[in-house]
This record gives sequence, C-alpha cells and structure tokens, in this order.
Amino acid sequence: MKILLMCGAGMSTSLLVKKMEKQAKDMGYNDISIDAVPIDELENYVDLYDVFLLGPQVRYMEKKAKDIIESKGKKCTTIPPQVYGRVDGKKTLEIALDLAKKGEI
Amino acid sequence: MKRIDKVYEKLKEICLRQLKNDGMITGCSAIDLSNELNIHRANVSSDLNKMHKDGKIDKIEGKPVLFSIKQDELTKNLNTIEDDAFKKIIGSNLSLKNAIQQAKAAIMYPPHGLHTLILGETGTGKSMFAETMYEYAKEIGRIKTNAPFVAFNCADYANNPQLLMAQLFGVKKGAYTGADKDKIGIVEKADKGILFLDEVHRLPPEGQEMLFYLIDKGMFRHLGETDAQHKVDVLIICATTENVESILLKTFTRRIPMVINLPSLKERTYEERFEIIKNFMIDEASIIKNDISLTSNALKAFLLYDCPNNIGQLKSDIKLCAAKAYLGFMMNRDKEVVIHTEDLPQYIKRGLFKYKEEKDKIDKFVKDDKIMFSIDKMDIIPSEDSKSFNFYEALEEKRKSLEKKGINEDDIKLIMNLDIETYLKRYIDEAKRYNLEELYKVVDKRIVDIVDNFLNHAGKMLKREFSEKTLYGLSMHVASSIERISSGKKIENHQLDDIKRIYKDEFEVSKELKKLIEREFDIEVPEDEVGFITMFLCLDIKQEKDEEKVSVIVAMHGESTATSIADVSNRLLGENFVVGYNMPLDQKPEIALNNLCDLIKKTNKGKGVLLLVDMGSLVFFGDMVYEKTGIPVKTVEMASTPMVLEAGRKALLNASLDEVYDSALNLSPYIGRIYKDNFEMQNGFKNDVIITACITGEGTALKLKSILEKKLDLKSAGIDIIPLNIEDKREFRRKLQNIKREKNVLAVVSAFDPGDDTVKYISTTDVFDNRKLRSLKAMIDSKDALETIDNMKEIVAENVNIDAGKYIDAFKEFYLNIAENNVTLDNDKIIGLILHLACAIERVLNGGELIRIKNCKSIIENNTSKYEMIKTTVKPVNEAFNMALSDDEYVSIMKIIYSL
Repeated sequence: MKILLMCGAGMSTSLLVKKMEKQAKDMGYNDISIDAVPIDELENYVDLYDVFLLGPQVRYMEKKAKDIIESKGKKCTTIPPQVYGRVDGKKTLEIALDLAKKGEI
Repeated sequence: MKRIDKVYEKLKEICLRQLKNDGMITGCSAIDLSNELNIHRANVSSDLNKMHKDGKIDKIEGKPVLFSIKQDELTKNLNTIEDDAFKKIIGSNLSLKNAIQQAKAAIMYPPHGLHTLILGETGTGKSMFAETMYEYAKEIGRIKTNAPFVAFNCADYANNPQLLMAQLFGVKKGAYTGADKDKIGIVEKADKGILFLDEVHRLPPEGQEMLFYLIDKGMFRHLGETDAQHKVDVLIICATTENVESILLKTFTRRIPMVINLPSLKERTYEERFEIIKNFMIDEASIIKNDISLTSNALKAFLLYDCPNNIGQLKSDIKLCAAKAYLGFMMNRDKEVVIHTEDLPQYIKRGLFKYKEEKDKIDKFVKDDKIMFSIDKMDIIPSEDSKSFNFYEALEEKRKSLEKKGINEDDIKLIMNLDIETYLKRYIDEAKRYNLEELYKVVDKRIVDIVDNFLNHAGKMLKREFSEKTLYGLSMHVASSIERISSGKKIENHQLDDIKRIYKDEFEVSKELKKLIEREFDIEVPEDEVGFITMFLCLDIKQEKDEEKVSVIVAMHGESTATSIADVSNRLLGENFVVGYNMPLDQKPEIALNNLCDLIKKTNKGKGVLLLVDMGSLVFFGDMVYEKTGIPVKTVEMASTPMVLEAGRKALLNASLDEVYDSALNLSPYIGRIYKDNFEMQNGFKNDVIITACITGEGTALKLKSILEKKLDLKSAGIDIIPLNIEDKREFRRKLQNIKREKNVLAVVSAFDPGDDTVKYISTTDVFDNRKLRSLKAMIDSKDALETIDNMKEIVAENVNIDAGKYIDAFKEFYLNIAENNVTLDNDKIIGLILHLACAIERVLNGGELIRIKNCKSIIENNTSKYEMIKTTVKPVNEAFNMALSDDEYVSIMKIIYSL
C-alpha cells in the first residue's frame, strides 16, 4: 500500500513520514511505502498512490484535492491538528489504514 | 350644595352633638334649624318633610315636631367625629396611624368585617391592639355591647394538638376516651363576637386546616363529628411574631385579607416612647401611691436603650426600676422615690452611649434635672430647684454620691460626662435671656470684658465667629469659676483628656483666657478649667457642623435592602448618618417619589443630598426631587455597601456634594479598585494580567486602566488589568515579582521601566501612540496562538534537529510581527507553519536540498506586498539562526499564511 502525505511544501509532512515508516515497521507491515509532496503536485502523483493524507495547514485545499482523488476512486482525508501537531506517526498510520479499508469496501 | 342637603347636614351635625353631649339624640325642630341655617322656616319644614317621606330621616311626633337622622346613618359617621377606642393608644397619630386606619377599615368592612392578621415583634402590643379593635367594634355598633371577645394563645397546647383542637373547636361526646360529654369550643364561645388567636404560627397543621375552613366558609365541626356542621358568625383576629414572609404565614395571608404591622419600639418616635414611659411611670406611681421621679440621665437611658422585647419589656424594666427606687425610699436612703441612673441595670445604662447621636431629638424631653411623675396630676411636674444651681457643687455632689454607691469608675465617668454637657447647655440657654446690661448685673463687668476680648482673639485664631450666647454663657461660667478658685475649692474636669485630644486647637487658644484671668484676678487657673473653657468654644461648632453636612440617602428596591445597607454603614461609621429608604417592589414610583421627597426635605442639612440607588425608576428620582424641592441631589446608581460607606465617610468630613459624589463613584466597579499590595490580590483576577502602575497616585493608574480597556477590548480577550499604586522603582519591582508568582503578566504600562525582560514594557506615553499600542494589541490577540506555539517546543525538539528553544522564541516574534499586520492564523496553520519552518531551517543548516516552488516568480509578482511583509516579519527567525531563507521558502510560507 502506498500512502501520500501532502502539505504546502511537502516539508513538514516529511517529519511525519519518518515516524509513520518506523511505526509501520514496528507493526510488521512490509508492504507500506509513505511519501510526502507539496500539495500543488498532487496531479503528478495521484495515480501512483492508494491513500492520501493532507496536513491541516492545507485544509483549505481539501475540496479541490478530494475532487481529484475521488475521481480516481481513491480516498483522502485531513490529519487532525492534534495528531499532526504531536507529529504522531502511529495515529496517522492508523488513520491511513482505516481509510484504505473503507476504500476496499 | 342644594338647600335640602344643607338642611340635612345641619340636622346631622346637631344630632351628633346631642349624642356626644347627652348620650342620646333628642332631635331638632324646624324652627331651630331655620335659625341655625338662616333659611326660612317654611322652606326648612318642607325639606324635612320631604326627607322624611323619602325615608332619609326620622320624625318624632309631638309639639314641636322633632326630626332626627336615622340610627344607621349615625353609626356610619360616628367614628370619624367621635373620640374612639383607638385614641387612647399612644402614637395613634404617629407611627400607629396607618395600623389604626387599617384596623378600623377591617372592623367596618361590610357585612361582618374582615379577618385580620396582626404582625409585630414580641411586646409590641398585639393583644392590646386586638382588644382595642374589639372595643372599637362595639363602639361603632358592628357587634353588640355584650358580644364576646375570646382570646386564645395557640402556644398553650402546642405540644398537644388534640387538646388544642378540642379547646378550639369543641368535642363531641365519645370522640376519644374520656370525652364523656359534649364540650363547646372557644370558636363557639366567640360566636357573634371576636376570636383572638395569639401566636397563631404555633397552630398545628390540623388546626390550620380547620381554621381555614372556618375562615372560608364560616363553618366548623366539633372534634369527633362527621356530618353535622355548625355555623358561627365570628370575626377572627390572629397575631404572630413570625416574619410575614415565612411559609406558614403565606398560607395565612392568602386567606386573611387584612394584615396589620405593628411597629417595634425602635421604629416608634421618641415622642411616643416618652409618652409610653410617662404612662408606665404614672401607673407605677398609682400602684405605690407615691410620686416617682426619674433623674434626667435615667430618663435619657430609658428613651435610648436597646429594648428588644419592645413595650412589654419597657414596662417590666420600668416596674423593676421603680421597685428598686421604692426600696431605696423605704429604707430611708432617699427622701422621695427617685430612679437614679446608677440604679438601672447595665443594659439600660448602656442607652446613654447613644445620647450624643440622638441629643437633638431627645433633649426636649429632658429639661430638668429630675422629672417627677405624679398620680394626681397625671402629668409631669417640673422640679423647682432646677434654676438655682451651682455648676461645680452639683458636679461634686453628684460624684460623691456616685462614689458612695460603689459605682465603678467607668460608669461614673459616663454619667458625669453627660452631666457636664447638660450643665453647660443650661448655662448657655439661661444666658439667652439676658442682654448685656442685665449680664453686668449678674457678672462682674471686668469678667465680661475679659471674656469678650478673649472671644474676639479666639475668633481670629480659630477663624470662627462666636455668638452672643457664648459670651454670656462663658462669662457666667468664668464668674463662678473665679469664685470657686478664690475660695480654694478644687476644679475637676472628667473629659479633660478627651478635650485635649479632640479639640487641640481650641484648647491651645483657651489657655489665653487662663492667662488673662490669672493676670486680672491674681489667681491660678488649673488645666481642668481650661478644659471647660474649651468646651464652651466647642459647643457652638458642633451645631454648625451638623448643618454643614451633605446628607446621604440609600434608596433601593425591596423590603429592607436600603435600610440594612444604611445600618451596616452607620455601624461602621460609628454614627447614625446614612438614611435608608426601602421601596417595596409593588410600590408605585409616584408614591416612592413623594416619600423620597419628604425624606430628602427632612434630612437635607443645607448642603444637598447624595442619593445612592440600585436601579429602575429610582435612578431618575434625583432630578425629579430637585425639580420639586429645589434641593440639589446627585444620584449614584448600582450602589453597593462600600460606596455608601465611602460617601458617608466623606460626608461626615464636611465634604461638598460633588466631592461626596466623586468619592462614591470612584468606588464604582467600572472604574475599579486600586491594589496596594499583593496580599490584597484576589483570585478574582483572570490568569492573564496587564499591570498599570503610577507614582502620582491611584487616579492615573485607574485612568490608564480604563483607557487600555477601551482601546484593547480586554474583556473578550479574558485579560484583567491590575492598577498599582507605587512609591518607587524598588517597590515596583517587588510588587511585580509578587504578582508574577501568581499571574501571567503580559505587560506593564507605567511611566518607568521595571527592567524585567520577561515582561513587555509600555511607557505611559506609548498608550496614546496608536502604533505602539498596536503591538500590545497584537500580543493580546495572539495570546492563545502564543500558547500553542509554546506547546510545540517539545515536538520540534523531538523531531527536528535544531535548537528548539531558540526557534520557538524566534517564531513567536515572527508571529507577533505578522499579527501586528492584522494577520491571524488558526491553530491548523500555526502548527503547520511551525513544523514547516523548522524543517526548512534544518535543511538550510544541514545544506540539504531546498524546495522549489512552481511559478515562484509570478506568485511574488502578483503579491508583492504580502511577499514584502513575510520577508520583513520573518527576520527574527533568520537572525536567530544566522541564515537567509530563499524566495521559494518565502513563497511557501506565504502560501500557508494566505492560503494561496
């Protein structure tokens, strides 16, 4: 499963990426890859990933991003600021996995 | 008025006169009426016959034919003209006037009168009042002269409800074991008359129900009876000491239409109290068959002491004291029956402490040294020896007699103090009757001249005019002093210490007279005498002062709010000064206004009135009162006890109306209190505070506070301002540290810098500089944001390899900078921005790859002002890490901040 995190410049989310990767490893997932990109570049990546997460600071772009993502039959959501602010990899990963499950149904 | 009406009125007048003088109506002839009215006899006669035909008047056949008004007409009018049973009650024209009008209305109300509830503290005369109502009902013919008056005290059987019910309503044979015959209850006994239920609040619930049934239906059952009901025609008067607001009484007041309040002894006027004392004294005199006298101080004590059980207690206290005095007489201690102050129990004696305050009101009753109450005269006999007395001898004698009786020193002092003042007053009053020529006859002219010179000198020194009265009084006094000193007798002044302390200036000036007398008469004048001279100088000013004060009146809604605030203030002020006016919620504003007008007219001492009110119509009364009375009134609304207290304090210091008004206003919660030191700081303050501090006094700190509050909208930001009054910089720092320990101090606004780096400092002049103030405002607005930023410190430290402390501080500055530019960010963006910028810095510092933004150039071109703003505001961050961000970085920050 491939997860894409997006924020203004793909920079702050990259912190989260590290944490999530560690968490995925701890949980024994080998098939999860996570990346962070600036939200502007979504269109270049939308076909390559399964699940999409937005940083809360780009919540204003959520609608636009959702349209693009959901048109491909994929799921996206915004990371809650409490989780994001704590750079909580575990929680973020759970959110991503939840989202992936919903997508399969 | 038509002629026929005139004739009728005259006839009625004559008939009533006959009834009053002869006890019966004999009637009146047409000729008599014609003469009285100056109307032709034939006309009068025809009018009378017409009225007789119409059934309006009675005709008594005979020669001459007499006419009289109808019997029932007579009773209707009787009470308004005749002396009635209520007249004998003391205070029927004063504090009981209202109660008596109510009582009369209750009795007269058709068809059978209204059931009545009498409220009053214990000993206010409720039973007596009920009996008087009964007398009155007989007088006006509402009930027959042989109608019963049955009194019953519900407390009597309160612990045995069954017995009580049996007593009240009667028992049917067999109702319970031992009820072997029918027994009639007092309700039945009172049929066609009046039933008086005292202490009705002690009636058990069962009894209440039956009583209510009786009240509502006029019917009742005997105990043990199921079907038969008995009808009685009885007027019920209940009495209780309970508060009318109590729950029990509410159920009563719903059913009992007339509620009469009897005033407590405290609420009654001194005139009434004096009459009451007089009556009891005469009663006692007739019991012991001997005249009884009261010394003036004993009378004062009786008039003033706190008498919680009211007239009942007053009566037994007088009885007790009279008995003591009688004992003294029987044991040959005294030549006559005299109640001396020293014979009074301690709690009565304590009344004398109030004398100073109430002096003006009670002095008129205490004209003589001794007041005698005689059985024969039913009045007071002035004592004969009052005119010829000698000041010092009287004092000395008094002291000796007190000492002989083993009175303790404190009590002697109290009694003597009062005596001294009484004597001095007497001098002055006596002096009124002389003119200068006559004065020379009584007093050596040399003395008068010396005193005159002295008073002129004293007047200049003390900037005060002395009246003729003082000249005469003091001259007479000095004459007798000289005589006494010459004959080698001692002069003692029991108030000397107080005088020296309170009237320091006057005492100094009085020494001048001592010198003059000593030179002229070659004698030595002791300091005690100087004290007396001082007292003469001060007798005048006391009165002047009284006239010069602003009156303070509290007027508030509710039964007792105003008076209790006034009470508290007076107690704290130690003077009976503030007046309270209670406006019950259902009182019409017009009535309240009228009452207030009267009150203000009465209390105004010439310097105007400060009116402290709570709300509503009362707020506007000030102007209306001024229109009506011309008395200047200032109104303070939303008054509280501290405000009243402050106003009272200020007024007592003879301040002007404006000053008193300002003093009360300055205590207003809107302007706030000044905090002198830390321990006064209450938890009432919010956690975030700004401190305003001034060395020029409280005023400026308070002013700064109100300016800041207005400009910064601190209320919604949840920030309090603590105004501080400081003396110097060191003290300022100490206080600041104290406050910092408990509160989060955002900023200090003051004329000088406390030199504390952790607190933002704003100078007083900056407050008026909007640009400077803006940075404070930014800080306040960003309060929550700054907290969020602070909380991110750990996260940054954990995840990003930079100095998080330095970074967060720099970021705060950056944030405040953008806030000053009226940009606010929500928490989402703040968090994102913190993490983003932290990562960016980390990359720059580690020489990592920098981000590239698409269309970077065009975005900058389209948003130049925003770009410039970011570039300037982010400077603190650049400086903190000694680096420069690229344009692409600026643009990415811009994108986050402005959601581009």
